[in-house]
Amino acid sequence: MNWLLNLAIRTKLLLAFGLMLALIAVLIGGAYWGLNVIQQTQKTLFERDMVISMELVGLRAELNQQRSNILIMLLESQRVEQEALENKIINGEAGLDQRVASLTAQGRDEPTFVARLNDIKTTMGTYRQTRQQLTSMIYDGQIEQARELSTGIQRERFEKILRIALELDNEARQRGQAAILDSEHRLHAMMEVAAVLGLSALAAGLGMAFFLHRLIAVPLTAITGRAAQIAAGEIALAPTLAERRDEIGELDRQFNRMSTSLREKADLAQRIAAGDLRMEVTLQSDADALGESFATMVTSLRDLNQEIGDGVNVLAAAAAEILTGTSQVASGATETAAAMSETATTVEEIKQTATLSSQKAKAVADAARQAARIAQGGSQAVENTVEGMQHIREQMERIAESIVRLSEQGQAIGEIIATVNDLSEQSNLLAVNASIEAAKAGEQGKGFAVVAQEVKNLAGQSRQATAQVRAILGDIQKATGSAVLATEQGSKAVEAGVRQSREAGEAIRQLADSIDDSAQAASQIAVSAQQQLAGMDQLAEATANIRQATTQNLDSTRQTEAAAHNLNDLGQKLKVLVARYRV
Amino acid sequence: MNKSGHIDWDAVKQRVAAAGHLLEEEFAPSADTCRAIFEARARALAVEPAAEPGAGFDALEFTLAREHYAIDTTWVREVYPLREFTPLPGTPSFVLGIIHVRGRVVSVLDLKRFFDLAPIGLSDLNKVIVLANETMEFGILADSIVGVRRLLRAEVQESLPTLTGIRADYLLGITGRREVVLDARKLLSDPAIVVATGAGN
Repeated sequence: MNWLLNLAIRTKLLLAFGLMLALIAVLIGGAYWGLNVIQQTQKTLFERDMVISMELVGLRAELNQQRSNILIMLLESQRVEQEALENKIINGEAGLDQRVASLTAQGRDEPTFVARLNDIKTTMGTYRQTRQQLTSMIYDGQIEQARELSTGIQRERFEKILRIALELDNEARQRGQAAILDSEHRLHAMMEVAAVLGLSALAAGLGMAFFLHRLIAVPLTAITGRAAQIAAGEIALAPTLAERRDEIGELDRQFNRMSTSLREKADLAQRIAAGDLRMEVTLQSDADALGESFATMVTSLRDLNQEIGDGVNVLAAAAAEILTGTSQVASGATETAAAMSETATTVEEIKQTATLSSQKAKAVADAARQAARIAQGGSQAVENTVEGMQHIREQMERIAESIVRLSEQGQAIGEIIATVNDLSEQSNLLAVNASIEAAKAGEQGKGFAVVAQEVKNLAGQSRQATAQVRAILGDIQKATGSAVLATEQGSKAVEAGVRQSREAGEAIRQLADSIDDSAQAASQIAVSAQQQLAGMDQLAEATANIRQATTQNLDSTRQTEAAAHNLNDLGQKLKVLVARYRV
Repeated sequence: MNKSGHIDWDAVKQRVAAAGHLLEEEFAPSADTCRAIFEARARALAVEPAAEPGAGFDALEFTLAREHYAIDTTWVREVYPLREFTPLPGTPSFVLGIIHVRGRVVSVLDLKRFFDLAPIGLSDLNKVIVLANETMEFGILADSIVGVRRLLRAEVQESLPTLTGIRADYLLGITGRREVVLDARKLLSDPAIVVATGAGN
């Protein structure tokens, strides 16, 4: 049976179904052949024997018709009727010929039949000749003779034909019955053969089913059971089936391989679970998804382990840092508390300072107002100064006028001096003329010449005096000029004084303005100091809040410390856990 | 106003008062002062004039173009201050014009132009010296009149080599006091002037 087991399932199925199909084909072929034979027999029956029988029956009926028509003709006296009957007879004869020809065609295979049919044919020929005689006799009115002839020889011929026809009919019927009987025999034989073949096919099918069940279904069921076991998680390494090289055997082997692989994977998982991450996963094939997954998982687990280890270290460090931070926060909170108390003290000091600065600012404002009043007084004094300056300027103008008048009077003196000079000049000329006249007079004029000389001397003296006066006048003019200049300078100085006084007044006014501004600023400073006081109160409140917040901060820092401690413990535990994995 | 800024008004007032007093005294001299002046004058007049050393003539002394001139008074009618004159058209340039002297019309010559001296503008004190003889009468311009003085003939040196041109023709000589003595007679009888005046008349 090994060769059968080693066949492929396809071949097995092809063999089984081929056998079944061959059996069914033989069955169908036998049935078809039998039916064909039966049909042939039936056909022969219907096409020959039945047709022959029918034709013969029709022939006899025609003959009877002919006979009856002749007999009716005999009885008929009317010529017209006779002729009508004769036409019918002639037509019937044509029908008879046709039937005979048909019969000849049907029965041409059997020589006996043809011979006897020829006998009928000849008899019918004679009968037809006789009949023609008869008709002519009837027309001629020889009824009696015709009757004799008709009942005599013509009757014999008629009967002979009928007889032969009847015999032939019977023969045909017998032959048909024999054919039917033969068909029945064949049918029986065929049914038997079919029954035998059907039974054998059934037996073969059952055997095949059994075999196929044994060869395919049973091992498949076993493998299905294993698959179900694997599906249920049980990886049983069942003994392999008998050495089969068909698909079942292959399936079984692959199942075994799968189980082995799964067992290996399970062992791997077991080792991984045990903390051994050092193994290398061998892939069953390129498409070993589970193997790849395992490899990835191992790698990932290694990385994860590494990362967790790192993370644990970081966690430990972070916990340590948090601890350090919390201690720093705690010390910071203490420092903050100390600073807060200092701040509170400072705030108190600032408040006192603000009160003091407010008072000072008020004092400054008062002083500024006082200064503003003084500046007003100063401004008034400057106004008075300006008025005084104006007065001085008027006086200076008067002095200038006096000097100008003096100068004018000097000019008048000069004119007088000019007149005197002119007079002296004329006196001089007069003296000269007198001298000339005296010279002309000679000795008598000598005394006159002396007088003239004296006059001339006087004129010279008076000219000298006038020259002196003119010089003095020049000095006076110079003095008055310088006096006028001095007065002008004085006037300008007074102008400058007025201007400076005005500038001083302006300066004092600006001073007053700035003092006013200072007073306002001082008031604002006072208000600001008040606001500062309010702000300092708020600051004190804020300081208290900060102190409270610092206390809360300290509490939460303690909690943080505890949490950091827990974190540190957790990190240690994690470290132990991670250490269980051997990488 | 002095540097210290204070004025000693009392001192000023005293000085002004003293000046006014002096002024009054000057214009009204005391009798003693007048007598003293008069005595001094009388003493001066009483001095005997020096004896004349020789023959001489009275000369009118005057200045022209900063030079001193002298002219014999014999030919001088009178001295007259030049107040206004009327220029004459169509006359030589040395004829200044004509003036009116006590009812007579006298033509005036400018010797500066006549002698071709450097021209100097007229001064207020210009004088006219009226020269006359029996036939002629005209005036010459003078910057100022110094006076009448007796000149000795000996004093006058005849010729002077530095004097050239037309001026030399009308000179008598030059004195020791560097006075140019004009020859009035020559001037009066000069045909050029006569023709000129004649043409003017």
